[in-house]
Amino acid sequence: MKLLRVLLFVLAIALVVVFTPLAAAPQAMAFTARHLVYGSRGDDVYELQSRLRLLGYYWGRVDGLFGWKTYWAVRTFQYNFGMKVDGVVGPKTKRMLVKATPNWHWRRSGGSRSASNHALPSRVQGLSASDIRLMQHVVYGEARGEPFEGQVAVAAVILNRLHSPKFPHSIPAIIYQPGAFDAVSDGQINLPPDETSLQAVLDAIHGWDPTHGALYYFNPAKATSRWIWSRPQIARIGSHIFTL
Amino acid sequence: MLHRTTWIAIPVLAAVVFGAATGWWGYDQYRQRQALALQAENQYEASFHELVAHVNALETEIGKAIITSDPTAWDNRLRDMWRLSYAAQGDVARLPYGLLPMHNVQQFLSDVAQEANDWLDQGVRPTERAVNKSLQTLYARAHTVSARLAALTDVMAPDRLRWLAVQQALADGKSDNQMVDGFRRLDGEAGTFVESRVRANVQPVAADSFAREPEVDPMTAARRLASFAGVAGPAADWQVQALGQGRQGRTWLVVGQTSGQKRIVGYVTRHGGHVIAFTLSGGQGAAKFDFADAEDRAVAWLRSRGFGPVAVMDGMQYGNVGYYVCSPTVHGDPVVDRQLSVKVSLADLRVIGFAQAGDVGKPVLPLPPRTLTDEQIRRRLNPVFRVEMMRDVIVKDAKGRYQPAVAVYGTYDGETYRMYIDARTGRELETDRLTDRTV
Repeated sequence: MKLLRVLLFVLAIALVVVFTPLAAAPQAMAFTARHLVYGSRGDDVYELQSRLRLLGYYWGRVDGLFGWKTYWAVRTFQYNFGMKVDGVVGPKTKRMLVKATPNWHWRRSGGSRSASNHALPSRVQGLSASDIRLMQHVVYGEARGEPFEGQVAVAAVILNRLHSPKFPHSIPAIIYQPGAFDAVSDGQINLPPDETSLQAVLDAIHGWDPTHGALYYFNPAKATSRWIWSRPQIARIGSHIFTL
Repeated sequence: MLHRTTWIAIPVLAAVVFGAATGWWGYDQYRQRQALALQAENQYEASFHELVAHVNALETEIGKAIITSDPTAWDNRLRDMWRLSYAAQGDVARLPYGLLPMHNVQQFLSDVAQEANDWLDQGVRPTERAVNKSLQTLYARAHTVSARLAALTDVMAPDRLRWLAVQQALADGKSDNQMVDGFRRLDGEAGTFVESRVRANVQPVAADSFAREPEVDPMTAARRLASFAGVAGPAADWQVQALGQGRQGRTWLVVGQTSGQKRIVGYVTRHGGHVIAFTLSGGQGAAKFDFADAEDRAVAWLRSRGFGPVAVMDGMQYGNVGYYVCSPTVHGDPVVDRQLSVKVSLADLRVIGFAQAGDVGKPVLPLPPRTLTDEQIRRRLNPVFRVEMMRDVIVKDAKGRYQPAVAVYGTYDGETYRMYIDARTGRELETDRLTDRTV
């Protein structure tokens, strides 16, 4: 009997030890020490957005992406609470936000998890997410076997055409211009692309142009057109020659 | 014996030849049909994506027209609205919607073209109440169409739906095809309805930027790159290739392996040996550092490379990499037509990519003085545009001269816009839409 009491006591202690942290879990889900700025993403941003939304400062999607709406909400919050208005969420802003939202609860105000680290913002350097995805398909269809800079180069050619008055003025029109890209003509544009091709597109969008302004490229092993061979050549990257 | 074998062999051989010929012909016919089908598919795909882009751009232009108060910018917006609505009508006509009721969408596009044309003829101003009200109605309709098209794009991409399947569904009178249903819904909502803009002024580093500086040899170029990127080298197996005359002038392309088996690829100008861009393979491993820490690192790295004080103009995180677009500052004001892009690994805070753009050699100073205060500029803006932030900047005007300007960040209907206003004349130089709620 005594042994049974001891066992029950040990069991009770074990239950308390096991379940106490679980009960406290929502409180533990507070901001980490990260500084949050425009462009940040992750669970901290998710928490920031949902707390600001609870206070009525934020009206956008709670998606874990620190975009313009979050930025304006942070600035308004900082202004109203007498803090330095800079849109940067440091320790002081976090403390004030936590103090202002004592009833905030991770699950109640949230729902699904925040965006993955691979979600795209609605616009990147003036290009829409759908334009970027379309470019990703072309890069994968045209250059998936090429070195990384060869993939960036294909994306850069599309962007160079966007800046050139000789070509249409939108990404879809450039990509689907008849005969412009083999991947469109032979249907390889419809292949499901990989992550590397998207990284190549993002590099090109952020200014990396390994082609130095090239508007065309061709594979010397396959190209028979005299015209393309007559173009001034800039560089050979992988199996493609890039020309003006 | 031979006679009998021959008599058996001849029909068998004939059957084999006939079968092979028929098979080859059939396969050839199949290939031709597939090629035609793919061509038709691509045409439909092109028209659809262009329709998405044009309607998205139309929504942007209407939004810009609502918030503008500058007469010149207003006329430009109207012309763009007219052009885009006309282009979108052409896209609709090229889609296989003969059997679909697209009348409301066409009506909307026609309304936009008609209104824009009338306003141009009548010379009305954007701040007139009736005009602004009509614009807001058009904007709401444009957003409905744009959002629905974006939703259709989302349906199409992952499921890889085909346009020919739409035609087949229409021909069979079925209505369970997602695209057919989607377009019917789209048209219904239009009764009650993505051209991207990138800053055209930011050009690559001009070919003649460093023309007066002495030429560097390949070895010097490789050394400059290694030092600039902060890697050991150059090793004996690094390759230096002379590139042809691109827009950035004659350049050395340097490719090499660094310690840790990282690959470096860089571009160094032949005149002066300036690194225009480089990339270092890396960024692998889990992100251990903040995006904000990486931003500080990017700014400090640029300063250490002699670019002076810079301002971060844009940034985004993708995976375990942070991208930062900075502009050098003159007396504290960023020169927005010069861009320094830095890519930082969040795994180890290492700078793994760099690119510069803009006319780096051209002097910014002397600048004409600012004559309008922020408050005077704010008063000139359209009152429907909610100003969130103003920042002094330096921009290039249409004639390529640097001018003092104010970047006005603000919102209209939940969308964020950035307007560059000339700080001397108050004229609107350029407006960008920075968000897109349809995505």
